[in-house]
Amino acid sequence: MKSYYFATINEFIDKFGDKECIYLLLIAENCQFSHTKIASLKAKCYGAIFPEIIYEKEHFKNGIVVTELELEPILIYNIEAPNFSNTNIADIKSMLVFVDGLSAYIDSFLFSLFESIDEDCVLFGGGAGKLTLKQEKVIFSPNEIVQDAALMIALPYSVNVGVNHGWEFLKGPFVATSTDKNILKKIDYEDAFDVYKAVVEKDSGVVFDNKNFFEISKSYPLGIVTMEGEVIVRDPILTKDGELILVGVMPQNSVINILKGEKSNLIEAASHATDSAIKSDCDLDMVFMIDCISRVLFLEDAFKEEIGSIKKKIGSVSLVGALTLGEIANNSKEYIDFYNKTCVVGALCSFNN
Amino acid sequence: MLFQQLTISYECLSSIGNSLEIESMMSEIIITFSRKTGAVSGSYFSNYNALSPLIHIGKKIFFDISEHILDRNLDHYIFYENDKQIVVLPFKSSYALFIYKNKESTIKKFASMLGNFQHKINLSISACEGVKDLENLNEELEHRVKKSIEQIRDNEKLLIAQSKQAIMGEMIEMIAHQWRQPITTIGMISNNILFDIALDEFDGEKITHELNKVNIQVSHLSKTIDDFRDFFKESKERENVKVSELIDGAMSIVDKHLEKQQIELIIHNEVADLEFMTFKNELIQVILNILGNSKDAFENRKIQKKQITISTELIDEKLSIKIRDNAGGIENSVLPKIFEPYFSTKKEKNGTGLGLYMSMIIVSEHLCGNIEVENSDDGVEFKILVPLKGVKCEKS
Repeated sequence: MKSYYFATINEFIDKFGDKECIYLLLIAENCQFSHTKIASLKAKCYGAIFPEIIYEKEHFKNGIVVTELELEPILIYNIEAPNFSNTNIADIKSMLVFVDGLSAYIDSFLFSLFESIDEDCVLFGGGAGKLTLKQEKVIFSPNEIVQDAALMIALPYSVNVGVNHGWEFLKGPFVATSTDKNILKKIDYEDAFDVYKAVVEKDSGVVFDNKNFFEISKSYPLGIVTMEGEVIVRDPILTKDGELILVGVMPQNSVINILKGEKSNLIEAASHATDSAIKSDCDLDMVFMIDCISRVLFLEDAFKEEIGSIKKKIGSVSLVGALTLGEIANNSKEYIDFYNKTCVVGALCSFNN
Repeated sequence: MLFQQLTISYECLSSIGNSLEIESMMSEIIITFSRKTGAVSGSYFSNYNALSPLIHIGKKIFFDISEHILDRNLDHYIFYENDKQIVVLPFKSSYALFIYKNKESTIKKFASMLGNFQHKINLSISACEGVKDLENLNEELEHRVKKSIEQIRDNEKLLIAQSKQAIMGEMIEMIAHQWRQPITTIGMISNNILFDIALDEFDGEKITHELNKVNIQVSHLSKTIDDFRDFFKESKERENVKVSELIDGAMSIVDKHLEKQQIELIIHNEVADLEFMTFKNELIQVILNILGNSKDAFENRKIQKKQITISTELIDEKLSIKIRDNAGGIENSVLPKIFEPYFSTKKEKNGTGLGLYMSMIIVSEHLCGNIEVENSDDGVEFKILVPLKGVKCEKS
């Protein structure tokens, strides 16, 4: 698959608008994108809007990453009750999935998706949306742009996925004694924010006020402990009435830790994720990097090093991706989890017949 | 590793028994167990012969479960199908099934951990079943109460009909009184005409005059029949009635009868023109029942100047009808019982004991009012209060 970066939508239209091809458009939030511009093109454009996009060694707040597709993607309109009946989803072995990252129905969608896909299907992807954190129409097909939707792109490749985050244990364990979907109400029977605040203020030396919650919390995510020892990260993005609002659901009675990041560990984690994705027998064709936007906010200028650590591993192979609101990775051995603050690397390998 | 195992155990344990509805409770258990232990599917079968699961999440079950022996005596067991490991948790009469993929190294530990919860899940299932039984019992009780209430309503209707039939005998006597005078008059006119013909004094003008008199009497007879027939019609809907129509309706049936008994009827109809929605015939039936009681009371006692006074007035948006006689009153020991069914002091007169009971039912449950009785100096006073507004009765 070939990929390109364009600074504006018009540049893309000028070059590919008249081609009867299928394209995946990863659009950066600041790009002046209007769906009407692509609706009438001969080129069939599917895609989503993200806070930032990745092309080779750079990440961009503006512009478009365009990838030629061989197979037409599937747009699922209503992810609260997804209907896969008219799709060939059960036959797909490798898939890239983008979902409305601010939808309240991501968890149930991933549940339904897992039930419907082939038991050997490997998939990865992330949450589309904007850094305003206001839910908008961000996922599109040639015909329309919609919200509470998902885009599934079948990949004619053997795909290996690597997942890593690099966040480390700070304090725990705690029990999420009261939750409602993505709202963490109580930790150990006390207001969640009070417990979180006490730990974070002590470690950071910074005091929470009315305006600086995310500025501080981006460095102190929560981790849900799993059986395999893996930690699923949850990003607290807001606080209200003593509760913490997370990206992704937190099941009640989950045992959680408060995590802390070191820049070097996060960068190293991306490298580990790449190692997991690139297998020795893989004839690497292309690599997708799906990384959480909050890692950029945490790493700041050092984020380039994270991209660099991946690029260093894959050499001249094309690297594209998006900085997302939540990440997805699954090899069908377990239910599909929705990660936060995590680096997902999807390596596309040509089938060796 | 121990911490992780404790964590998962705690989370799984916390998912047990959070609902008293079996589908909801088992659903939470199946979802939590599956996700926390990394199963690719989780199912709950409500009994050992069920062909399809009551609850299922994740990948489809790819083998025939009936081919595997389900041993209920174990707290868990494992069997293998290709690269899948299947853990079965048997309960008293149901079981859960979890399918894992490529978990050979950890499956025994998972299964053993889940097996530890068997007893607690069994208890929770029993609690759900107990609640379900109670709900069913409640539902059945509700149904039975509803049926009983319907039966009571039917009985009330029957009692009203019986009550009407009971006074039908008296009515026939009243009709006889109402008809006696006009029939006598018609007979006299007829004889006079025959006499004139016999004497050859046939005078067309005179006969016309006499026949007009006959017509007046026939009209009177016809009206009497209409009044009685209307009374026996069942009031199905409330109708707009003037208070005067109520009192006149009752009087048209009973006045001659009272007249014969030399009972003076005094009417103070202060709100004669007041109109309101009511079941007309039923309210007339109540007035007739009370007047009938007074008439019977007079028969048993020698009262010089027999009087019944009917007075109407408006009290707090309610129509008050007071019926008072001077027949000597009711014994205080009897007074509290007179609205009870089948209570009668007139056994020798074939009293059914239904008249005043039905009057109370009609006033309280059909007209949403109330009826009271008390002794006065020389007799008894019934007081009927019927609301003019609000047609929905508050029933106990």
